[in-house]
Amino acid sequence: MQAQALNEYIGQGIKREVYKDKTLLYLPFYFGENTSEPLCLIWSKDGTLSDGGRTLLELKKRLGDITPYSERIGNVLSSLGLISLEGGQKLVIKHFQTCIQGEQTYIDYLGGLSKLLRAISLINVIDTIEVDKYGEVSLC
Amino acid sequence: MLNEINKQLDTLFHAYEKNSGTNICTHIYLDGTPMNLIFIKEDGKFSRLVTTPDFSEWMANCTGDYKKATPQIKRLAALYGVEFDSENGSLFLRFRRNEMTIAQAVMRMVQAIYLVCGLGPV
Repeated sequence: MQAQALNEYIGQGIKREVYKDKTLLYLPFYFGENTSEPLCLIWSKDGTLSDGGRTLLELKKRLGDITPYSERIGNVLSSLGLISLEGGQKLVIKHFQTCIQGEQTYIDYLGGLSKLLRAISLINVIDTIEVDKYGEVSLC
Repeated sequence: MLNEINKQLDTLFHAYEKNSGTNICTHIYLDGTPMNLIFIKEDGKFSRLVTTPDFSEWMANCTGDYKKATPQIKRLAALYGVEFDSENGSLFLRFRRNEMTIAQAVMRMVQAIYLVCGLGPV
């Protein structure tokens, strides 16, 4: 019973808008005290997942010039793999891993979502952490 | 394709009962091991989310000794308002339910896990 109630509570805080050509997923990602607007992730009908540029926008809002952190951001993306930076702003995943469960294979979209959220979690605090080319994290 | 994506999204942060309590599936996998959360209702006002022993094992392996790495883990987790229990090697977030929704608390934990799980040997 508690699990059922919990699912309802969690569902209230995670909104989804489903359209013919895309699905918008709103998550209460914590960007810091100064913003309470949820993170909107966009799934396109071709399966592409993007943060709409929000992560780097928040970082620029907070830090101004983010060029000193370019190498660290690059290390986050290259060590996680599959994520690209489009137009210098948007974090995008176009390819997802195929998983095998018993005799069935399926594309793991949630695994891709998880990877993107991991990148966003690291990039959001990139001024506080060092990330080497293997993705190892340490404090500045 | 969107149908399949939406079907998978239905299970995002799904809670389920286990003998040990109520778990929340985070969809975080580290080397194939799921890093899930345990939900604990403390009293009328507070709730607590705690990582499972799988997380502690991960931290022990990646840092070599999470007790030694405790200062770094604490500082990293604090960036997302999460605390670290150095005795059990678990991350936890104690929150007042009228100040933070469960979804917000889950996201904070997820963000903290992603951050600290990348720590190397100390």
